[in-house]
Amino acid sequence: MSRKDVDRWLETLKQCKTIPESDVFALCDMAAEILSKESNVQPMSCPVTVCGDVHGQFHDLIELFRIGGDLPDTNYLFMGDYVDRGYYSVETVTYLVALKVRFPERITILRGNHESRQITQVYGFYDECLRKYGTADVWTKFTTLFDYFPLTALVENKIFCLHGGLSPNVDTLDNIRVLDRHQEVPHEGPMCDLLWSDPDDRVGWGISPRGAGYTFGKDISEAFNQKNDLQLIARAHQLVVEGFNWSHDKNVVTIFSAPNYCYRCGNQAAIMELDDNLNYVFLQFEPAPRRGELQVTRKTPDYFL
Amino acid sequence: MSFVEPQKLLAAEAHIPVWETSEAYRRLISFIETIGDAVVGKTISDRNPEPSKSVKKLLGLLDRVDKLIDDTPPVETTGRFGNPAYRDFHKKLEEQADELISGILDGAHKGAVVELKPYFLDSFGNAKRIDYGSGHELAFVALLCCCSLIRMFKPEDTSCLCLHIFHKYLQIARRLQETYRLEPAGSHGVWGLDDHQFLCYYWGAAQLIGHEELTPKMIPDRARAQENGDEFLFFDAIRFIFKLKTGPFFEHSRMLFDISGVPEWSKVRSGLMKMYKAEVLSKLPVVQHFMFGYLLPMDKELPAVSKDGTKAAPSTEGSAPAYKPATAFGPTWGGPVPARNPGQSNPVVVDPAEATPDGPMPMTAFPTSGTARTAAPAVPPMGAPPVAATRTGGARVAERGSLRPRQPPKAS
Repeated sequence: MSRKDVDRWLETLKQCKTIPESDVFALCDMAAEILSKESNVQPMSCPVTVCGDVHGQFHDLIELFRIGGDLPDTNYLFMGDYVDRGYYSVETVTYLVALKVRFPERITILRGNHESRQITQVYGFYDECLRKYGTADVWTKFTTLFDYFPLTALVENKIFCLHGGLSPNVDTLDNIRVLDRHQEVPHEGPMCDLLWSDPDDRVGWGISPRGAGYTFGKDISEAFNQKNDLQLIARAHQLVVEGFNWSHDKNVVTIFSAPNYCYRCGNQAAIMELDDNLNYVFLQFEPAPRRGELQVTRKTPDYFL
Repeated sequence: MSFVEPQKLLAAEAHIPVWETSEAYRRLISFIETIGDAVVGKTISDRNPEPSKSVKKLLGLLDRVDKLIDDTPPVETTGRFGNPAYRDFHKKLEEQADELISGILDGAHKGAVVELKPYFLDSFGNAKRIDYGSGHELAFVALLCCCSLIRMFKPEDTSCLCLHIFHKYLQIARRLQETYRLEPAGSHGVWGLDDHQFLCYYWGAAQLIGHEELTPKMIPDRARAQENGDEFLFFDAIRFIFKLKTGPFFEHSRMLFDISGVPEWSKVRSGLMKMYKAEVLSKLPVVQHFMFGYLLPMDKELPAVSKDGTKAAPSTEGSAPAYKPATAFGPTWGGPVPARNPGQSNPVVVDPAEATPDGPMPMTAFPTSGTARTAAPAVPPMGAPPVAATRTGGARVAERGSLRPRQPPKAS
C-alpha cells in the first residue's frame, strides 16, 4: 500500500462512502504501526485545533474541517468518541484513521470510552458494521486497532488533553506514561478512569453515576495542574449545550464537537484553536446543511421476517 | 396476601435464561399481549369515556405526577445536558409516593403500597443519571401489571390500560424528557427503535391491525404522523420523533424506516414482540434493575454467580454490556449495565514489514506543492501555516483568551 492508495481511500471516504473491507484491513494495519509508536501522553506542539466527541456524525465532521481548515494546513487533536450513536460511525472512524495514516504528524486521535469492544456492542458501531459490511470482521479489526490509540496528549507541556478526566490512581503524567494501554478499556483502574471520569461541582473524588470512572472536584483539578505544571485540562465526554464549557475556575474545559447530538439535542458544537502563543479561540458551529433525502432501500430486520 | 418490598435479583448473564422461564416474566408477557389483543382495531377516541373507578384513580395519580413537573421548572444551566431540576422533581415524587400509591388502593389492598412503590418510582426515569429508557417504561408496565394482579381492574378496563393510562403515561414521560432533557438511557442511537420508548410501538401496531388506509409504509411520513397521532400510539410516537429530531428519517430512525417495509401491521406487531423480548427483556443492562416481589415473583432458583459476575460495571452514556455480540439491531435500553468482560483479546501485533507490503508508508506526509515549508522536526512536529485559506465553513467565535503561563513576579 502506498500514499496513493491512502489518497484514494480519503477521496472515497470524503464523499461519505465506505471503502472495501480488504482496504479497511490494510489501513488498520498501517495505522497500528504508527499508533503503537505513540506515547500514552502524546506530546504535541502549537498551533493545534482541539476537538471533542464526533459520534458518527460524518457530515458534521466534514463541516468541522471546513471551519477549522483542512489537513495538513491545520493540525488536529481529537479526544475520542468517533463511533456509536450516529449513522456514519464506520465512515467517520475510517476517515479519521486514514487521515492519521496520511498525515501522522499532523493529527492525533486519542481513545474515548466508546472506542471499546464492549461499548460499541451496545451503542451502535457493532450493529452498523454488521449492517454495512455483512459481517463483524470490520468491527473486530477496528476494535483491535482501538487498543493502540493513545490515552492522552500534552500540548506544549501545558495543556493536558484526554477524553474523560482524572483518576485517583494518577498523580503525575509519568503515572500515565507507564500504563500498558494495549488492551480493552478495563472496568476500573487508571486507564478506565482517564476515559470515563467527569469534573463535578463537589470537591474531592465522587462515585460516578456512570458506573465507571470517578467525579473529581475543583480541588483535585487544581492540585493536579499545579503538581504537573499545567495550565489546563481539556477533555470531552460530556454533552455541553454550548459545545464548550469551563469548569473548576478554568482549570478544566469540556469540548463537544457533535452539533445537534443524536439529531435532537439542539446543542452547539465547538472546537478550540490554540495558536503559537497558547492563545485560544473557541469556534462554535451548527449541523452541516444537508441535501435532500436520497433513495434508500429498506432492509427488513430479522424479527419481522 | 403477603406483599413484600421488591428486590433486584438479576445480576449475571447466567440469570437471564432463568428469568425468561420465571413466573414474573410469564405474567408480564401475558399482560402485555392481553392488552395488545384488547386494542386491535381500536383508536384512542374509541376508548371508554367513562372508565372504571380504578382507571380513574390511576389517571388521577398521573395527573399528580404531571403537576409535580409544573411545580418543578427546569433551572438555568449552561453546563451539562440533563437539567438538575429533574432531581428535585424525583425527590418530590419520592416524598409523595406513599400517599400517591395509597390513594389508588382500596382498603383491602393498602398493604400493597410497599410492593407497588418501587415500580412507581422507577417509572419516571433515574434521578442519579438524569436519564430515561425502556427499562423505566417496563417499570410502569410492571406497576400496571401488579394493579391488575390484585384485581383492581375489570375485564372491560383492559383496553383502557393502554388507550387511557399508558397514553397519559407517555405524555408525561415525553414531557419529562423534554423539560429536563433526560438522556436516553443506554440508547443504540440511530440503530435502536426509539431513544426512550418501546411499547407504544407494540400496542400501536396492534391498534392498526386491519386498518384499511394506514399501512406500515406510511411510518416515515411526517404528514401521516401529524394527521393520525391523536388516534394511534404508533403515529403519535412518530409525530414525537419528527418534533424532536431533525435530519433524514432513514438516518435518525433507521429501524423504524426498515420496519416500514414490513407489509402487514400484524407482522409488525409480532416482530416487535420478538424484538422486545430479545432487546429489552433479555438484556441484562436493562433487566438488572427489574425488581421481583410477591406479585411478580422469581419462582426459580438463580444460579450463584462469582463475585466478578455480580459486579456492576459502567452505565448510561456508554455502559459496558456483557461481552456478547448482538445479533440484530437493538432498540432502546434502560439503565446501566453490569457484568465484566470475560473475553478480552490481546491486540494483534502487526509486523511493520507486513503492514506495508508495497514499500514504506511515508511517516511524515506533507503536501509537495504550495507554500514553502521547513522540514518537520522529529518531535514535536507541529507548526502550521495560516489556515485561513482552507476554511470554508460557517462558525462563530464564541470566546478568545490566552493560556500562557502567568509570569512569576520579577525579582527586583
